[in-house]
This record gives sequence, C-alpha cells and structure tokens, in this order.
Amino acid sequence: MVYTIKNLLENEHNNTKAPANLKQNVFCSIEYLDVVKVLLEFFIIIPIIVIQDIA
Amino acid sequence: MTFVNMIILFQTNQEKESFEKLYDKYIDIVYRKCLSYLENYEDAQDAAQEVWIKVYFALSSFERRSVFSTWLYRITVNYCITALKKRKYFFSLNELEEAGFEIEDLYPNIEILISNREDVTKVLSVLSKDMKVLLLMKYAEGYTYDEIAQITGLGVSAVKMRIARAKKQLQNAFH
Repeated sequence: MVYTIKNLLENEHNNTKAPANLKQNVFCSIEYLDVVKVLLEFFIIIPIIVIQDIA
Repeated sequence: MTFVNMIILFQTNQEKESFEKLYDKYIDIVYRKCLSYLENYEDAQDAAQEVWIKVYFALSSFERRSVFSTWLYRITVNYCITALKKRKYFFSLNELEEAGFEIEDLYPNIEILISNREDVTKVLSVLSKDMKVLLLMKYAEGYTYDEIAQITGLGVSAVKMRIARAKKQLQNAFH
C-alpha cells in the first residue's frame, strides 16, 4: 500500500485505544474542579459583590 | 441526538451526560493524537486528561464557528506543543539555521511504499522526535510554515529546512 506522509502520520496509532481508567480520572477531576469553582464563587466572588454593594 | 444538539444541551444546562457522549465519541482520537506528539503512553494519558478538562470548562463558550472536532483537535495539538515546549523540546532546532544552504521544499509529493501496518511505526522511527512533530504539524494538522514557526518559536527557515530534511530522510530510508 502506498502511504502519503499525511496518512502515514495519521495511521501510526491507528488501533490504539485510550486506557479505560482515563475516563474515570477525567470525570473525577471535573467533579473536584466543579466543587472548587463553586467554593471559590461562594467565598470570593460573592463577598466582593456584597462589599461593592455596601460601598 | 446529534452532536450539535448534545453541545447545545451541555451549554444550556451543563448536562454531564451530553459531555460524556462527546467524550466517548472522541476520546480515542484525542488520545492517539497525544500519543503521536508525546510518544509516551503516560504523557499521552495525562495530556488527554488535561485536554478533556479544558474542553469541559471551555465548552460553554464554544461558539460553533468551527466544527466541534476541529476545535477539539486544535486544543489537543496546542496542549501537546505547549507540553513539548516546556521540555525545551525544540531547543536543538535553533542550531539548524546554521547551514545556510538554500531552503526549498524538495520533496513535495513523497509517497512511501509500506507492505503492512507494522511498518508504519518502523518508517516513522527513522525520524528524530522533533522532526516528526514538525511533520505532524505540517501534514496532519495542515499548519503553514509561518504558523509552525510561530507556535514552536523557531525561525521560518529552520522549520522549512527541518521539514525538508525529514522528508529527505524518509525518502532515503524507504525508496
């Protein structure tokens, strides 16, 4: 079979699949970061808005 | 449900199920791309994880001016290139501007004869890692020489020279 550089590069890992634990890692990290985001909003952004309102 | 609808659903109510469907559809492609650039299973896994976290938090602001997959691949490639730059991966390329011989794209339509799939890896192994990354950017992602130079921080002539040499190496090894 004749490959061009483009399909040679694109075919290098043709049959490789992402490891199964990757999905769990991604979704756990997202859950964690979502919580951090909510906490940040609660403890930093909301007090700033309240202080601005008072001022 | 189409992928566009899934994206809209995610954007309107942060529906994790829609995001999970996008993940399931594209994870292998993202992982393979990371593997092509980083050439290491652990690094590719870390990169793919970071890419999907970025996508999760950026998807709300995705304006659908491009196709989702194009947007996703750009994020992936940018992440990999940044990771390579942090390792000073392109440092050695600066010395390549030395030679001063005429820079031209000597082998624009090179084709390589490969008899079976295992040979793909063998063919690519004749290239140094930095050459392979530049070829990936040029031929798999379609970046221009100027864009590659901008992304990698190299001179345009160094990029052209390196890509021409990589193609010559491939041709010498397999023709």
